[in-house]
Amino acid sequence: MLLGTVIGTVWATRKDEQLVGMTFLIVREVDLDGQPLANYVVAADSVGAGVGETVLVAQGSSGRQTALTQGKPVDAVIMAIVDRLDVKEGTARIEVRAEATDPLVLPLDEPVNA
Amino acid sequence: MNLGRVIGSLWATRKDPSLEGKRMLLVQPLRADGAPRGRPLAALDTADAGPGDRVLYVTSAEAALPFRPPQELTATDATIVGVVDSVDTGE
Repeated sequence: MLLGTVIGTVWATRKDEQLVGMTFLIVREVDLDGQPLANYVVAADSVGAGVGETVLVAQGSSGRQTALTQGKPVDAVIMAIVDRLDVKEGTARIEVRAEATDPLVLPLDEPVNA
Repeated sequence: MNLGRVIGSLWATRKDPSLEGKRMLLVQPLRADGAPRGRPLAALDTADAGPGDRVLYVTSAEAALPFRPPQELTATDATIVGVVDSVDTGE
């Protein structure tokens, strides 16, 4: 699963009717130190995540493996909000935010740490 | 299927109900010669792997199959299915 930070919400009034009622969030991939990478994905939210939270995203056809997205035209779903992450070998530690906070103010089109 | 090394653990209290009671680990993908390849990922674990173990993991829709049955749906795109004893590439 991809590890990322929720940086925004996507609103779309005109959409496939099977998507009605879903929340779509923009998740920016982060490395194990919590540093943002250039990659991002728009994902359906099955767990009630908020901007600033660290989440896991299941992608591809696995994005349909939740009750919310089963059989729906979705290829990415947020399926967990990360509380804590322990990395062996000591070097990497992610700062997991306990509560939703301000979005990262980094432009998405500019590779930061790809 | 892919080779990787378990480099850590990950906890999530709020998660999809299909993930309740399942262990989540961080895996660094490896090349056949054992060198790291690409970025780490999070994976479920069915093989009781631990930090430092070299493992075999499946990705995409097949990652949900180890839990079916009984679970029809499991919200994962990566699952560890074996702990590797040895790899022989003949080199």
